[in-house]
Parts: sequence; structure tokens; C-alpha cells
Amino acid sequence: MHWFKRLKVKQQIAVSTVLVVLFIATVSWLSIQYVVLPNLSNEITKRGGIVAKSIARRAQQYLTADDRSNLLDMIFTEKWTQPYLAYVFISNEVDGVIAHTLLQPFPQSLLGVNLLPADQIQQTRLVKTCFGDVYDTAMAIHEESHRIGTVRVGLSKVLVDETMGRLLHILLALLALIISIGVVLTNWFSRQITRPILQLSDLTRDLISCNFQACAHLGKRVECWLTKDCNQTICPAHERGRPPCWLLDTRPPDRAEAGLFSRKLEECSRCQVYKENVGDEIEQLAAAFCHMIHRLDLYQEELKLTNEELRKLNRNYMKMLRFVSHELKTPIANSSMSAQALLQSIFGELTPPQERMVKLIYSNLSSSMEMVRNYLDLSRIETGELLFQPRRLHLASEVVAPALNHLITLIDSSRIRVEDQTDEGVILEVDKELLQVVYGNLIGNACKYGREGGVIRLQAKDQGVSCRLEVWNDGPGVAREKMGQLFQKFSRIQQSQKEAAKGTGLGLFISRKIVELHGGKIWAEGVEGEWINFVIELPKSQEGSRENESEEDLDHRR
Amino acid sequence: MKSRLLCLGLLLFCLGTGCSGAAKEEVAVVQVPGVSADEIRLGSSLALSGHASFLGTQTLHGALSYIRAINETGGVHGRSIKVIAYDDGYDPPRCLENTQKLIVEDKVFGLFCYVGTPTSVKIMPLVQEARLPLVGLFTGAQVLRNPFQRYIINIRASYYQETGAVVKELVESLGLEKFAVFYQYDDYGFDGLTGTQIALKKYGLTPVATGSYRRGSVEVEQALEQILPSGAEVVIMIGTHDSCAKFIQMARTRGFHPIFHCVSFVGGDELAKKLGGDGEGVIVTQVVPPPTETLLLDAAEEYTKLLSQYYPEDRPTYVGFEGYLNARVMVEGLRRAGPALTREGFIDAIETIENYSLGIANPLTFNSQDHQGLEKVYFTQICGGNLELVTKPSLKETREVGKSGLKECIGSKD
Repeated sequence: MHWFKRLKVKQQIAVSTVLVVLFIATVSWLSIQYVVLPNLSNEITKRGGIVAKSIARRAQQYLTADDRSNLLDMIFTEKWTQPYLAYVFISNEVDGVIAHTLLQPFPQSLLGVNLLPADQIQQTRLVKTCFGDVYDTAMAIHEESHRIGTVRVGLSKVLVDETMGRLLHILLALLALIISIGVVLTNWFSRQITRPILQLSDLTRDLISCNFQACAHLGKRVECWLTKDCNQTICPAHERGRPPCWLLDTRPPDRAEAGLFSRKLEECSRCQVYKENVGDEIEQLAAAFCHMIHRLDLYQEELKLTNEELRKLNRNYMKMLRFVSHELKTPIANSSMSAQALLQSIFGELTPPQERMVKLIYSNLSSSMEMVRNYLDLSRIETGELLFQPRRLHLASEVVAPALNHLITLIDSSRIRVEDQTDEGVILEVDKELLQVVYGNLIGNACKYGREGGVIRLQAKDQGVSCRLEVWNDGPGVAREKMGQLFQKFSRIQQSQKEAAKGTGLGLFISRKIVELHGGKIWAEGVEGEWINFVIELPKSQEGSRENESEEDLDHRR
Repeated sequence: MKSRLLCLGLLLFCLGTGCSGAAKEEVAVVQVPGVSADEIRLGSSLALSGHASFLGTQTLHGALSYIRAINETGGVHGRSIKVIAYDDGYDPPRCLENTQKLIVEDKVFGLFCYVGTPTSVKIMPLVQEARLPLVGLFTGAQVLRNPFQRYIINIRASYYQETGAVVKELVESLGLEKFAVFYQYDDYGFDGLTGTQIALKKYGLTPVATGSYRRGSVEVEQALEQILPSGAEVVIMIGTHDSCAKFIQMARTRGFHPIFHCVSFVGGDELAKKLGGDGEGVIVTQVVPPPTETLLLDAAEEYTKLLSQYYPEDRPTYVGFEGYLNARVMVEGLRRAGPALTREGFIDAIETIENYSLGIANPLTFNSQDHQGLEKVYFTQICGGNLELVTKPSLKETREVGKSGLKECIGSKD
């Protein structure tokens, strides 16, 4: 039965019903063939005896009155009303045949084929005659106790068989018709049953893809009371959209609708929505499903509104952040320059304690400056105002080298060795400034979190349509399960309190956004406590960028 | 030796049984029953005795006068026509017995000139089974016409047509609405009753009264009692001449003077004779023209001449004239069927007759879907003890006869 279980429900129903119908048909056919028809045939054969008896009873008076005309009339009438009769004749021992229904000279041989013994009243035999096989019934005609004649009735076996054959054909045709109707009805029923299930499956798929506009109408469609029953043209709920109406919504109706609430309650008494427990199970299921979808839709709409509000709040917050960062940038830069001037003894030699203090001030101002830059980048990203201007350039000379130059102070102070293995031939179409920010962030992070006196290795490989850029260091790295969090906003995987103070938690988030802006990917690999490697995969060219820029232009710029 | 004995045995068996073996069938195909090199045998069962004997005798004499004339002039395709006629006394069982005898013993080619509805209806299944032609029935029964039957050749118009014509005339010309039907309680009477009902239905009418009598009897008193109180203006009579005559006479005695109408089967000449003075104004519809019109109609002239030649004691009658016309059609069919005469060929030949002039100013037509030869109905009225052909307008005066009970002829001779 494994094959049966592999079938769909619709097919299972169809196959089951067809099997049942076939079984019934077979049983019916066998019954017809071996029970009904033989019995019927037997009954028809007996009919010969009944006819003979009836004729014998009436023939007696005609024979005694010697009324041959009426005798003949009677047997002819009998023959014409009984379709299976091949012949009827009446004989007596003196005159032989007195009356017969043949239209040819009476064949004398017929007299002898079923002779009725003197002690018998009736006898039926299947005899061979010139009319073919005949069920011949002989019936004695008595006057008092004396036999005055014999009625012979011949039932044509061929005609009986023909009738049985016709009957069989009719019954078979009827059976075929019943089977056909059975199959058609089964198909229809199975479709009726499985169609709602299929619709439900489709609906579920719609729900999975968050299409809440879909609505199940398994069986009867659940419709708004307005369009279904109440014949009203203006419904207080109608403008609000699809059924079920606002009465069922979790949200309270607004003031205008609330005013119509009592009226609607009256009118809604016939509303389809309230009839969800009416109808068959499939209809109820459809109604419940519709309501569920409607609820989900409402929640989603509410969620959208909330999201919109939050987005608005976030944008304002970002604008404020940019404003503050921008305002802070100039004084911090000025203060940093002043501290640098003091350290360079432009305003006279500093005492060692003074120099230590000024270095601390300078260091804090540098951190603040980086923080301000990050916040400005973040606000640009969040507000969608980040300027993206890609062009073809040499990675090593136009991006990596300037980024390293920019960080030379930090690198020196971290006592970290940088191994720049960037392939000179790597040419990319990128936004130079933004990719420098990415390199700055990654190298800066390596300096900040890397092992003091450790190594940073920069690599870049051309992979055909894309380039793989790597920033490796032998710092402690992060646990594998936390690597995904690295690129989240304000995410800082705290190894210690000291490290927590080192950044804003925005650098990697900004880097990811920039890489994504280029259509690339960024992720981290590594072994905790041993090394960490940040990998960037960038497409070599940007769609719609300046593809026609010549190699000479590039060389010239280098 | 064994096989020879077997062959001999089989041969003896076939001969002895007389069954329709294969050898016999072949013979049957070659030898058409009732047809020999110099003779065509036809059979007829009709009333030659009893109350309807006038009809049977006149039909037979009319037919035979023509057939004898044909035989004397060499027959048809060298074959003389022999008619075997048995008397059935207008009794259906006897008619059936006669017909079986004609088919089985006399081996006739076809049947011819049957008289009466119940008798003809009785033998219909026999004709169908034996597949032999039955030509010229002195009955207008609808059952012999519809549904169509290949082996039955009707020449005269039906009772439906007769009653239809008289109802149409009396309703439309005289504005009469109260029709009663007096009928014989058998197939003949039922047919006439149905025909009248159908005809009246066209005018939104139904019979105001009906009365019947048993076939073979003249017990019409009860029927008269049923019809008399209805105050019928017309009594349509579907009966034989003696019962109809008695009904009319009793009605006149009781002071009941409607218009009496009888269909052709009544035998108008005999009715007029029986009624005497009481018959004045009685309408009899006929399906053949008057045989007395010898100056106008060739057929009438020939019929009268042949009848006086072969049956000098007979007077020309409508019934006899119809028998004569039946014989004309039979002979024409045999002629058209050619020398290689078969039953099927004869029917096919009959079906080729189209607009054939019988000499009665009323052409004869058959086809494969219609075996009704003539359609016309003639009105006659008893006038001075004789049947006179009347034109339709002159029927108007009939009303006055009915109302006043005048025992004088007012129908003008056409």
C-alpha cells in the first residue's frame, strides 16, 4: 500500500471510489449474469405454461361448441400479445390439429415432439423443431374428466435468448452509466474536498511571503455585510477597506464611526462576518483564516506606522548628532593643534610632568576627533547622504599607502609592524575616500586591539571579477560566535574595560555600510587568542561607472 | 454407404416435415404464392350473409364485374385473375379464420376487397406477418392508415375525413353547434366517434350526447334515450344500415328531427330503401361519386355496363362502385408490377401510381409513405327514396327539413 500513500489526497479519494465502484459493478454484473438473467429466463419459460393453461381453460367451451373461428381468434390473439411465442396450436385425437397460428401448412412432425402422456396434464420440454429450439408446453383440455384436446404452446428459445441478451446489454449499459457517473461524481467530490486544502496551502505560501492581501474563500467567500446581505449603499465601515469590518478590529473606531456604532450593530445582525460559525467546517476554516490574516495585516500596518515614527525620530537624532559633531570638530581640531604645538616646544620647553599631561590631552583630543568623524559618517549613512563617487584606481598606491600614512603616528605609538603585501597590479573601481576610511578603521582597530609589538599584514588579490582584500593581525581576535556581532552598530566586543574605552563601536559598522555601498561583502575570520583577519570582497567595477577611463589616465594619476 | 444413407435420410426428413428448410426457401423465392403461369389467385373475406351482406355482395359484384371483363380480354400479362371469396358474416373471428385459410391453404397472392372495420382490424397482424398485399378495404378506419403500413393499400377516404367534412360543412355553413354521435360499439364506431370529436375540437365543440349499440344487433333504444334529451341539432351516425334506419325511424316517431348523417359504410342505397319516407333529408357522405352519373363519369358508365352484363339482377350502388374501383386499382397494380410478379414488386408498383385517372374526376395517387389513394368526400342526401348528390350550398336547406320534419325532398339534384 506504499504506492497508495504516495498519492495525493485527491487521487486517494478518486482511486478508493473507483475501486469501490468497480467492485460493486463486478458484483452486480456477476449477479445479473448468474442470478437475475437465469431466473428471468426461467420465469419467461414458465410463461409458456401459464399461456397454455389460460388457453386450455377458454378452449374447452369453444371445442365443445365446435366454434373453430373463436378458437382460432383466441389463440391468434394470445400469440400476438405474447412476443416470445413461436406457435400455438390445438389438437385432438380424432381430427389432429384443429387450429394453429402458423401461416404455412402445419408441419405434422410438430405433433410428435412433445407428446403428452395420458396421465399428465402439463409437460414442458426443450425441443428441436423447424422453428429452432422451442420450449414446448403441452396442456390437456378436459371436459369433465375426459380429455378433448391438447394445447401446445411453443416459446422460441432464440427470442427468449435475444430478449435476455438485450436485457443484458441494457443492464450493462446502465452499469457503465452508473460507473461513469460514479467516476465523474468522485472526481467532483474529491475536487470539492481538496480544492479548499490546496487554496489553504497557497494562502499559507502567501502568508510566508508576507502577502496579507490574500484572503481565503474556501467554499463560499466571506464577504462584507454591506455587499452581501444588507443591501445598504453606504456603510460606515466600507471606506475602511476589506472585511471583516471595523467592528471586529482591535482598534476602536474613530469618532465619526463611533456615532454610527449603534445603527451598525442593528444592521450588522445579518452580517456574514458574524456568521463565521455557520456553514460547513471548510467554510468556518476559511472564515477563521480570513480573520487571522486580517489581524496579521492590521498588526503589520501598525508596525509600519511605528517603524515610520521611529525612523523619523532616528533621522532627527542623526541630524542633531551631525550638528553637534560638526560643531565639536573645529574646537577639538584647534585644541589638538595647540596641544601639538606645546609638545613641539614651540612655546618653550615643557617640564616632564607638563609634557606627560599635554600628551594625555593630545591623545584624548585625537580619540575625540576620531569619534566625531565616525559620528559624522554614521549620520551621513543613516540619513542617506553619504557621497559615493567611484572611479578606477590602483589600490596599493591610491588607497592603502595614503591610509597607512595617515595612521603613521598611531602605528608608531603602538609599536606594531605593518607588512604591506598589497599587489601593485590590483585596480578597482571604488570611492577612494570611503575605502580609505575602511582601511583606516581596520588598521586603526588592529593597532588598538592588536598585540603590542605585533604584526599587521595587508593583502589584496585580483580574483577576476572581484578582489579579495585582507587586513590580518596577530591580535587576540574574538570568539567565532561573536564575529557576527562585530559589524553591528555600537557593537564592541569587550575583552576588557580598558579596550572598551578605545572606540565608539561604529568603525566596523561604517566599514560594512561602505563595502555594501560598493556591492561587496565584509566578514571576519580568525582563531580566538591567536589571530584575526578581516576580509573584504569587492567587485572590480561598479555598474554604470566610468568604464572608458583609460589605463594611461590611471598611470598618469599614479 | 453410410453417407449415402445419411443424405437420403436428410432428404426424407426435409420432405416429410414440410418445414421451411433451406431447399424450401429457395423454392419459395422462385415460386410466388398464388401466381402461376396463367393465373393470379386473390383472396377475399367479406360479409356475404347476415345484416351486412348487402355491403359484401355489392363490393364483390362490383369488383368481379371488372375482373371478369379483364379475364375475358386476356387477363393481366397473360394471367387470369381468380378471386377466392369467403363469407365472414361481418364477424372478425370468421374473417381471421378465412384469411388464414386463404394464406395457408389457398396460397393466395394477395388479399382484396375486405369489408368492415372490426374484420379488417382483426387480420392486420396476420397481413404484417405474412407480408402480403391487402388492397381495397371497405372501411375508413384510421388504424389502417396511421401508422403507415406497407402492405395495406387504402383507396377510399377515411372516416376521419368523412366526419371532418360533414362537421366542417354543418358548423361553417349552417352554424350548428349541438352534435350528437350514435355509434356501433366496436372499432368502427369508436373510429367514427374519435373522428367526430377531433373535427368538433377544431371549433371548440364536443358532442352534446353519445349513444351506442352492440354490433350485429338493432337494439338502439337506449342510445336514443341518451341522445334525445340533449336536443342535438345533428346526429352523426356510425353504424350499419339496419341499426341506423331503426334509430332514425324511432327518432322521427318521437318527434325528434335533427339532421341525420351517416358515413359511407352504412350503404346509402340500402339505407334509403329501408327508411322509405322516413329517410327524407338524411345526409350520407360517400367516398366515391354516384354510379348513376354515367354521362359524366367514364368509370360509372363502365361499371353500370359491366354490372348489367355479369350481374343483371343488380342495380348500380355506391358500394358496388367502390368495389369496382378497388378492382381497377388492383388490376392497375398488377399491370405495373410486370410479368415477374412478386408481392414486394406489386407494392412497389402500386406506389408508382400518381395522378392516375380512374374515370371519376378524382385522381388517384400513392407513394412510399402514403397508401391512401383518394381523398375526396361527396355529400348525398336521401330524396324521394333515392340518394341524390348535393352541392354544399344546397345543404343549407337541410336545416329546414330537420326543423320542420317535412317528409319531402328539397335537396336539389347536382
